[in-house]
Order: sequence, then C-alpha cells, then structure tokens
Amino acid sequence: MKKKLLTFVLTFVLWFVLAGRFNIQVFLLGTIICSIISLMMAENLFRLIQMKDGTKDFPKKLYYIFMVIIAFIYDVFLSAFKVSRHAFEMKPSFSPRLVSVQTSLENSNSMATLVHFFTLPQGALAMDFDDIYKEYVIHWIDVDSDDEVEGKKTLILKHENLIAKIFD
Amino acid sequence: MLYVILAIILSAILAFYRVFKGPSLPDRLVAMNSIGVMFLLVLVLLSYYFERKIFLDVALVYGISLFINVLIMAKYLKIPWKG
Amino acid sequence: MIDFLPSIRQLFAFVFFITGIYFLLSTAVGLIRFPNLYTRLHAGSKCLMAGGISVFMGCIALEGISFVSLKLIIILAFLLITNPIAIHVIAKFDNNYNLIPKVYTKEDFEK
Repeated sequence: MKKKLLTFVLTFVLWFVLAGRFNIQVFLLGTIICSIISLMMAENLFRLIQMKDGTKDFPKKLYYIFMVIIAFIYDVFLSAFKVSRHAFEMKPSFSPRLVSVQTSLENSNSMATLVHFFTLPQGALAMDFDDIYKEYVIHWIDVDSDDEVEGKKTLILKHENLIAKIFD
Repeated sequence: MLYVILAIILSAILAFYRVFKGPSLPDRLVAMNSIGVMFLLVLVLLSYYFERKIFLDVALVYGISLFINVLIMAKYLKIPWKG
Repeated sequence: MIDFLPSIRQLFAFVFFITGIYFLLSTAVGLIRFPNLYTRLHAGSKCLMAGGISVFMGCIALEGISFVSLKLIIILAFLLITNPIAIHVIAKFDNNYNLIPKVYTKEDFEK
C-alpha cells in the first residue's frame, strides 16, 4: 500500500510539471492515468530496493539530502577543472593507478549510490564491484604515491558518512 | 545565444575525430555518448533561440532514447564474433 | 531599480555559458589528445557533466521561477543519473573482455 501511494505521488508531481498548467481537465486526466500506473507497476518498480519503515525522521533526512546535493555539485566542478587542466597542457602527463577500496556500508541502496559519488565528484572511475569482500575497483587519474592514496581515501569517507546518514 | 550554439557544435565536430580514428570499439562509444549529450544541450538552447518552450519535450525524449541507445550498444557488442 | 534585476540575471547567465563552453571544449580536446581509453573515459564523464550543469544553470538563470525551469531541473537530474551509468557500463564492457590498458604501473604487476 505504501509503495502504491509513493508511486502515485511521484508520478502525479511529474505529470503536473510536464503538463505545465493547472486546470480541472488536467487534474482529472492525471488522476486517472497515475492511478492506473500505480496500480499496475508498483510491484515491479520497487523490486530491487530495500524499503524500511522509518518515516518519522524524514525532515531530518531532508537536511542531509540538501547537503549531499550541494557537496555533489561543488565537487563536480572541482574535479572537472583538474581534468580539463590536463587537456590544455603542452605534454599531458598522467600517473594512473588501479586501487581497491573497501566500504563499511551495509545497505544495498547506499552501495549503489556511492558509485555515482566515485564517478563524478572524485577523480575516479568505478570499474568493478566484489560482493563478498565489499570492495570497489577504482581507476584514479592522478595519484603519484601511496600517501596520496590514503589522503584521497579520507575524501571518500566524507561522502560515505553523508550517505550512511540518509539510508540507515 | 547563437554563438553558444556554434561553439557547442564546434566541440561536437572536434569530438567526431575520435569516432573516425578510434583504435578500439569503446573509444567510439565514449565519443558517441559525448556527441549525443552535446546535441541535447543544443536542443535546449534552440528552444530559447526560437522562443518556443515546447521544444524542451523533444530534448527530454531525446535524452531517454540516448541512454537506451548506449546501453543496448554496450550490451549487444559484448557478444564475441569472428573476424 | 526595476531594470536592475534582469541585467544581474543576464550577467549570471553569461558567466555560466562561458564556463560551459570552456568545459565542453576541454572535453573535445581531451577526447583527442589523451593517450588511453580510461583517461578518455575521465574526460567523457566529468568535463561533459560540468559543462552540462553550467549550461542548464544558465538557462535556469535566464528563465526565473516557472514551470519551464522545473522541466529543466528534471532533464538535468535525469542526465546526472544516467551518464555515470553509461560510463560505468562502457568501462565494465572493456574490463571484462581484457582489452588491456596500455599504461601499466608497477603495482599492477605485483598483484
């Protein structure tokens, strides 16, 4: 029941944004179409997602979601500037390296969300994932020594703590 | 606004060099993906140039079909063939 | 005072468009000049998305608050979710079929 209500609200908001006007005909047609979609497809839509009961502390999580989006956009510009500085050099110099990083997250949603935070905000590229040891295989672009690897792993922990507060 | 569109088309033509001379197949896929996103930005900017906001729906549908395109290419070409 | 606000808005849009053109051109130059597949994937994911974000932010700054800017935010969120998945699929497609990367470091041989 909760899944169907959530699907109905999400598709109804999307319907009004795509329609672009408030009207009584638009409201009635949107109600019919969104109820049909939420009755038919609610079971298949949330098949791979672990749902939890706790919806009481949702306003506290809204603050963390806002913080995640702000950190995301700021770090995207920072890492894109580092990559684009390599493109305009006279001789592009790289020191790529494959690193395996172990996570402490347990929920499957948060493990899937962390891959987005490897690819865009860090200077990394997630290549593979090991289910048993919970290790990501990551390709860094400019890492010179082992100390710098440890320094960059602490940058991951900043995003990891924010994600753990949202999903757990 | 017109100069922004021309600059994005110039960068798309520069990225088209990698489609011709990619040594391997995933190189061409990356270049095709970036050209697709650049033309999506051109479609968004054209809706401001002609002042018709209905063109944004074209950009939305184009973005969905671009994503499915790249996924099917990467999944279909996984099959090893001879030659 | 009334004409003050739209000029500020156009100034913001101009700055966002200039940064977007810079990142998109650096994407194209990086796709040509980088020596390796994985570094090209870096150029194709991060610089492209930064250019896309700045162009969309310029359009939102031109538009103001309306339904059109909400539609722009939906297209931007869709692009931000799907492009890392496409890059990850291409990297895994390359990794599973052993098209070996040309630049090896010493740590890879020791494993």
